[in-house]
Amino acid sequence: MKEFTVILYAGGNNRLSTDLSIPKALLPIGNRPLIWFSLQIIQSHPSLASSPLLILTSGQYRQILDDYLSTLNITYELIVYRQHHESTSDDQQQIQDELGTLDILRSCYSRIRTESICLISCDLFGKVNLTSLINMFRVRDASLSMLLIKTIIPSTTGKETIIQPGQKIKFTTEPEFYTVDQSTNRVTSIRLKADLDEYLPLRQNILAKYPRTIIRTDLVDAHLYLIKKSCLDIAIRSDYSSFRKEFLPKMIRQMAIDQPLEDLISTPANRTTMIRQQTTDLDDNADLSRLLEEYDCDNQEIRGGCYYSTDETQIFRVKHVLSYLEANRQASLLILSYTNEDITFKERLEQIQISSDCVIGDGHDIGKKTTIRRTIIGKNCRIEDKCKIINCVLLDNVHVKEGVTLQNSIICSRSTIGSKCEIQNSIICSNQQIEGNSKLNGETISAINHESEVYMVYDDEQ
Amino acid sequence: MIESTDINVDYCEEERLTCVLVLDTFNIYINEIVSHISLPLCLWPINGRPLLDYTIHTLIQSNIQEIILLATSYSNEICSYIMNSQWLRTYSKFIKLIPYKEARSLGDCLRNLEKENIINRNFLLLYGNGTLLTSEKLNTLFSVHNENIRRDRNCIMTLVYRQLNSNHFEHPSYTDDQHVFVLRDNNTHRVYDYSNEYLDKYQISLDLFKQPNITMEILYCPLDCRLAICSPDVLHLFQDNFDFLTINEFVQGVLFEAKITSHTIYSHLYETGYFLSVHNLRLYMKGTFDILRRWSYPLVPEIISSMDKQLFSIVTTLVSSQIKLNDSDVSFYNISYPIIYDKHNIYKQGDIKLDRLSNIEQDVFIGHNSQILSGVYLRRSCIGQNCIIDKNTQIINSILWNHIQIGENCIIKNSIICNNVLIRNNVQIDKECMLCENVIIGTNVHLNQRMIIIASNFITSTGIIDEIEIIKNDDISISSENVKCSNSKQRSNSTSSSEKFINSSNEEIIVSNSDLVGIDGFGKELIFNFVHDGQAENFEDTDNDEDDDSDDDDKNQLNAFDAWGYRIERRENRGSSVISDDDFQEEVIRTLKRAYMENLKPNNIIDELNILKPTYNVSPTEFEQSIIRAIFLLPLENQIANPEQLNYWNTLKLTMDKISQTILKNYMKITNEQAQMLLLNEIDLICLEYIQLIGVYIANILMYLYDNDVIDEQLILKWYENKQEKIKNNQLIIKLEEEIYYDKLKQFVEWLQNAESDV
Repeated sequence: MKEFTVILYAGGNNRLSTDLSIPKALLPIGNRPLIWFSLQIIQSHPSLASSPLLILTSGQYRQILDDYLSTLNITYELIVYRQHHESTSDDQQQIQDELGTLDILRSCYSRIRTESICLISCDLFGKVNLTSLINMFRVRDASLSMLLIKTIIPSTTGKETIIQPGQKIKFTTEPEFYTVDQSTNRVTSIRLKADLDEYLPLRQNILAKYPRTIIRTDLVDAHLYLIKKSCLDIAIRSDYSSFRKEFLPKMIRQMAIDQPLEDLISTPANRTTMIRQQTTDLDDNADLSRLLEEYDCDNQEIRGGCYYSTDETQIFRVKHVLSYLEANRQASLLILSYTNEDITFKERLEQIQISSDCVIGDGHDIGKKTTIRRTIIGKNCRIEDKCKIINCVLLDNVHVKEGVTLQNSIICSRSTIGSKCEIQNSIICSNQQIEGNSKLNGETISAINHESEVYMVYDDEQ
Repeated sequence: MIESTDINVDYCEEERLTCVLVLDTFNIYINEIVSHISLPLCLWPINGRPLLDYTIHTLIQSNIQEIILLATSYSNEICSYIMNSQWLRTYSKFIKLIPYKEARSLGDCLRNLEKENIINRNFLLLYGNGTLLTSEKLNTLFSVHNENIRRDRNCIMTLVYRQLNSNHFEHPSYTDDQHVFVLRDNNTHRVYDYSNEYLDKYQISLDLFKQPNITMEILYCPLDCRLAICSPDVLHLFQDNFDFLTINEFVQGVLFEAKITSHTIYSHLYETGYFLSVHNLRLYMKGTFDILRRWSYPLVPEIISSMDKQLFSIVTTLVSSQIKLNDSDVSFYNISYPIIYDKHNIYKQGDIKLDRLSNIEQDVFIGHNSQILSGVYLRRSCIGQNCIIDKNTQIINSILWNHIQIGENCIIKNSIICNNVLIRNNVQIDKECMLCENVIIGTNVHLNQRMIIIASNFITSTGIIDEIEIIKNDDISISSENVKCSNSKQRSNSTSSSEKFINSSNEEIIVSNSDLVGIDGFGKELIFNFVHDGQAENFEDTDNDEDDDSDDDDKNQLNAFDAWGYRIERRENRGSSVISDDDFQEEVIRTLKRAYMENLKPNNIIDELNILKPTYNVSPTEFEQSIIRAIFLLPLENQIANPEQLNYWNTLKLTMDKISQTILKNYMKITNEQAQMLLLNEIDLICLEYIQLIGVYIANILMYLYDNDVIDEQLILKWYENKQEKIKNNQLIIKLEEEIYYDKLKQFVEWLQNAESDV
């Protein structure tokens, strides 16, 4: 019997391009969809690679995701959670966002048969060393192990600072306060800034148990959890809708003060049934065996605490423009490390300067006297003569006419850039036509003018 | 070992390391006990030598070149100890005693030190009674502090803590008085928040996290070494701020007070090493046993005494003539006897008489010239010099000082027994007792409460002890002698802690409490006057010796920990803290109850209630509401207590007739419309609250109040109208069970209207 069930969230909406038919999971990074990287993380550890894999997605992406995944050599199960996907109006979209992770999880919960569960979201990018996390989970008999990553401070490549393309958007990362016991790696409390006013409260009874704790603000949640099913049972039975924002902090608190997790199931009705279940379990052997059949684990006792592990290598979640650009830059190296496959552009063409750190998709048509540096170019792109493309990401089917200068920009699929445009620090959404001789700096061109202020903000609730 | 003596030679002004020891706990409870022993806590014996010896030993081992002792009320004893100790002979230049008898706090001592103007460099400050037992060398702390100063020139103090493991509340080294919450930077160890309050939640300002690259670390209740490395500026700050009495106040002042914020405080956390700052009785016992168990190695008896020998021999060769003069004084503690260390951590000092059949299990120190008879069982105990322990006695976890006699078949656990105590046969002492000098515990006495038993200082010890030794088995003669002096002031429930004695020092005749220590015993429980300040507010002894209490009150704020280091829960803090209405309510009810019982005159009660008012921080309205509630609820209480007695109405009527109506008339003047309305509203509330018990009598109550001119009828009608209006407007919803009340009310009001029209 397997130890883990891997649950991969792949339901996020892609807001980078207004083309909603591409789910975030398939957003190309180095011409590979984002989900490919998550799958590599899972495959990198044998005990997760051999575990049953459940991929949660919403109905509208099911087909497209399935099409892609079937090309890969993995066994998986696609689970569609209910969603109002018929309409794309803003109202509906908000409802989708409000559908919390626990709600989604509830829909597929019956399929989990293993003792432990690995929750992972598909926007985790980077080389994750799962061994230490899984070992800690096993050795400590932990209820929960989570991966925390260092907050990325927008890195500077050389001297030039990175400017965020597109309209200047302040993406505020909410500080999270992790109170941890450093000697044991135990998490004793999690506080989100949103829940706090001016002070960070620390409960005396937790302090009394962990006399020397450290409050870390330099860490963020990687949305990668290993959790015992017994704990997730509680979460499923509770009324909370978000795992990370609502259930997790409370669970950690309960564990830190040695209170039963059952208290989190708010409705008293639930509690009574639970107790009844427990007593019958003790009395009735038949019932016990039935229970074992169902869960293959003991869910009576919840032992162990919540632990964290930090990874020093650069891992981050692709959730905004900057991190998307950063991911694209690192993609070739990462793919190389996973598959020994060098995807950088090797062909040398006459009268075209393409630096060795570029990735260019198939079906390209690149005109003469063009310079391309540090750029990812998708499939079937057509770039005419005398273009200069530096530090950009071009998705599929982009047509760049002659004499165009592109710098630090993202051009989404099926867009056309008119001749002699100069575009800096901008985002061009899909299916846009930019007229010739335009000059753009720090702008976002999209079909819908009131396109939401935040681009590529992934459904953050995990 | 020799290196320490080299200090004399390599004396160097630049690197001179100074340590300041403040030899007082400033805990009034401990000082009260000490006053019955006439030996300050820092000189109490630990395994045959004074506590202070261990600290000075450590300091000398740590190459501290100057030790400054700040002595308070017991300067004389400390002075004579220093004069007689070997330290003065070996390091006379380096030990300086500064007596300051008037010091009431650490702040006073340091201010006095500042006046002396002898500190001009960084110094170690040992402020928890000046007695730190440690296995570490402390000179490294100077470099820690210097490093802090190098990085931050504003650093003036580095506090030293020792980490405790996670179940630290049960850790025996932790006592309540060490409770502290420290918030510090994980990298620089700068202290940002410091509190010794007990709170459910500690709050950290989010502004602290705005600094880049900061990781906060929380130390909650680390072992407080009561040790700090201070810059000379610390003394100046104490001088400038007269309100700094303790280190806690100092740290909080430096951290939070606007005018001195330019300074910073750092902390240092030891993760290994033995540390124990002995500043209360529990830690005193803990320290004794830790040394027996050699946790503090190399701070263990036989090493120290052998080192003394070496020092002694070196010194004698140097200044032999001087030593010979003082040779007789060496026996201040008779520490010159050699100590033999045996397996199972048994230490034998000098000549002892051990019966073959005695069972000395482990961790035991036996002092010179002590006798252990057959069948005695000893475990983790320290027996002083010249003690006699009779057959089949068990001594566990206890400390016996010198010249103690213990009878047969006794069981003594967890106790401290001071010099010249006699314990007769079959005595059982179970729980953290302290027997002060010259106490006699009678036959078959069983002490199972934490208490301190004292005898007076006025009766000379030797006479009685000698007498008893002669007639040891003749209990009756002793008892007759003691009964004489124990009759006068005995009270019925003398063991209960609520009772108050006047300080023994003020008493001329010593009261022996025979209930406590037996007929043939001698001694009484030491009860601290100031402990029971809270109870004074129960109006029991208001006319007692409260005059000089204002001073004690201040001290209480400082020392809310008893001699054992336990926190004293102060029930009420006179006026200063916020007291909920309920407390006040209870107080009023209690006052009224007593008034009913004792048939006090209404005027007196009103006076008493008026006194209550400023004591509790209540608004006039709350005050009046409380009185009304008390008047109407008190009869209910009686009724619940004996249900077959009169019904509520009759009881109320009784109390009303006697007292309450006068009180109501006094506070709710019939001319004052506001007060009258308040009264009616409050009655309304009470009736609705106790609908079955009180509500049904509403007509009777109002009728009575109306008849006795407590309430004006116009106002009743007005009030009723208001109420009806509210009901109409659905602001007030009548529940089913409340209908009976409203019916009665309606009946009464109708009657009232009719009566009015009739007239």
